[in-house]
Order: sequence, then structure tokens, then C-alpha cells
Amino acid sequence: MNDEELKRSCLEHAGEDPSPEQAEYLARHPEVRAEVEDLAWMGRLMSLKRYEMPDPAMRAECQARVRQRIEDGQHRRWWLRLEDALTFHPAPVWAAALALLLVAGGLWYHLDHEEGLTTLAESRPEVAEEVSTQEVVLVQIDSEELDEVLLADVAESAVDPLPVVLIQVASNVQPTRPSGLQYGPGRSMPVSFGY
Amino acid sequence: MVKDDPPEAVPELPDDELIARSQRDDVEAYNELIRRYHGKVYALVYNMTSNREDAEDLVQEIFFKAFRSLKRFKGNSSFFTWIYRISVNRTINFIKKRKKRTGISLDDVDVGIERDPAFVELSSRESPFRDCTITELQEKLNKALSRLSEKHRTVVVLHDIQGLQHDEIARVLKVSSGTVRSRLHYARRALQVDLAEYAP
Repeated sequence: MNDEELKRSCLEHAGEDPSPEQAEYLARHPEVRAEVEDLAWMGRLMSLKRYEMPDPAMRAECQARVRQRIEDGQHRRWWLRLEDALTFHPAPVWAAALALLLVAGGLWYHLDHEEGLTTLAESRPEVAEEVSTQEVVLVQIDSEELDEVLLADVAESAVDPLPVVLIQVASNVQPTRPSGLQYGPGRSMPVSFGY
Repeated sequence: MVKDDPPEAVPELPDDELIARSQRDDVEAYNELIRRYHGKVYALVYNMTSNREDAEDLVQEIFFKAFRSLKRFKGNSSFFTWIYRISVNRTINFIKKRKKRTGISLDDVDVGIERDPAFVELSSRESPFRDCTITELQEKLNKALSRLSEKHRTVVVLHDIQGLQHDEIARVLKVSSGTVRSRLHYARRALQVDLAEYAP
């Protein structure tokens, strides 16, 4: 170490026993020794603060209150616990919440835009209202299959009673849907109806 | 929820066992951990805030929040280091928020101070301190301490008042020992300005 480094080292070790190298440096530099002693004295002066004593009953009171809060907390509602978590460890919890939000948002976007379909209520609200009390089977087809479906003879169907069949035609700008007809029951509502 | 055990008296158990039990919601075990560390945590928070009411509230909050986080405590550091780290962070956040409201409310000073070599040396000097009461000294020290930045105040409290070693402080603050020494050096220099009348 050069002299500058030694001086800094001596000052930062004020109040500790100097190493042989530091002792030798301090012997050569009494002004630095005086500075070191002043700094060490500040440490001793501040150490007098350890004689400040709390009320002896404080610990017992703290124990009782913490215990009460723990026991109360075990019955707290989940959003209050979340609030606690957010106030104490904000970063990880917010990160997790954000990640969850992104996943949920992504999922919603994916489902909502799947195959380019819109809901009946959005595209034909008057029809949606009319069939709301009848069993509905949703059929999703490509636009080129529309003629074939419209020409089919439903009177020959073995299904009785006949359900309301809603045909949704996928937009041709969303070609991701597999071709062919898809019938319920995944998207049907159990209701009574009569023709 | 209070468990029906322990078969072994809780005060006899080492920290590790108390922590493991506390992680299983054993309030008795956690109560013992509070008993062991309350004094040190209180002293840390009190010296950082210079306000006994704030310190009392903060210490309760720290122990309560620590219990809620205890399941995430993996034992990579000692409980002492962990609870101290929580205490320092929580207290610094508190000090930053209450910046505009700096009331000082101090604990009583133990009579043991009169036998402390530093106090004896001060009393025997030809200096303004000779006519200064213990209460006045206490107020001066606290005011000087509260004027330090939070990071400098932290190292003074941990080292000079609580007597932690540099490497222990480094673990609590997650900095190097060199950084602790450097901060302590600058903090003492700043204290010299405010406490010039007590200089040797």
C-alpha cells in the first residue's frame, strides 16, 4: 500500500488495533494519528447511547400484541392478507400479480379471437333474444361450407325435438380453424323449447 | 393458532428449532424468539428513529411481519441477521415517510452511564461538557445521529452503539465490509461537526 492508501486504511480502522504496517505509518504521521484518535472518540461518544433503556414492560406488551395479531390474522380474509403481502414484500408480489394478469390477458385474447368468431349477441342481437329460451347448438363453419349447410334437409333429421341451430361463419381473414362442421355439446345451453 | 405441544420447554430450544416450530404456526415458539431478540431490535429501531413511541410501534410491526414471512426464511443466514435486515429496511422506509415529522422522544438513561470510561473521561475534562447534564448529552447525541443520512446512521447504530463487527453489519446490509468501514468513517466525520464541543 502507498501512503495515501495507508492513511485511508488507518482512518477506516479508527478505534481498532492497528496492523504493524498501520502502526508504522501512524508513528511517522502524528497528524493522521490525531485524526484517527478523534474519529475513535466519536465512536466511544456514540456508544454512550446504549445506556438509554426502554420501559421494562415494553417487551411483554410487544409479545402480547404480536401474538394477538397473529391469531387474529389467521382468520383474516384473503384480500387483507394480500394487502399485508403487498405492503411488506411489494416487488415479488406485484411481479407475480403482473405475470398472472398477463397470462389471463393472453388467454382471454386467444379465446376471444379464436377462429375469428363473434358471439351471436354481438352479431345478431335480435336472434339471440329470440332463441334465448330454446336449446341452442352452435355450429362453426368456414365460409365455403355455407351453401352446403343451407341446402341440407333438416326435416329428415332423427333428432326430436329439433334444436335451434346457430351457424357461425368464420371470417376468411382468420384461417386457423380446422375445416369441417363442429356440433355441441360444448357450447349448448339446456333450455326447453317447442316447434 | 396455538399448538398443543411442545413436549420440550420452549425456552430451552435453540433458535433453529424455534424457527421450525414458528414456521408451523407455533405462536409459543415465536413468542420465545421475540423474547430473545426484542431488546436488540428495539435498540436498533429506537436509535434509528430517536423516538420511543415510533420504535415501539415499529418493533411490533417488524415482529408481526417477520412472522408472516418466516415461511420464506431458509436459514441461509442466522435469524439474528435476518430479523436485523428486516428491521433496518423497515425502519429506513419509515424514516423516509415521516421525514417532515421529526419529533424526538427519548428513553430514560441508565445510571450505569456514570461509570462508563468515556463518560468519566468527558466529565473530567475542562470542556463545556463539565456543566452539561446527562439529559443534555443524550439530546445532543440523538440530534447529531438523526442528522446523518439513513445509511450512515445505520452503521453508527450497528457498530458504535450495538457493538456489531464490520462483517456482521456487512451481512445484515448485504454490502462489503469495506463499504461498512467507509460509511462509518464518513458518518463519524459528519458527527464531528455536530459534536465538536465534545471533541477531545
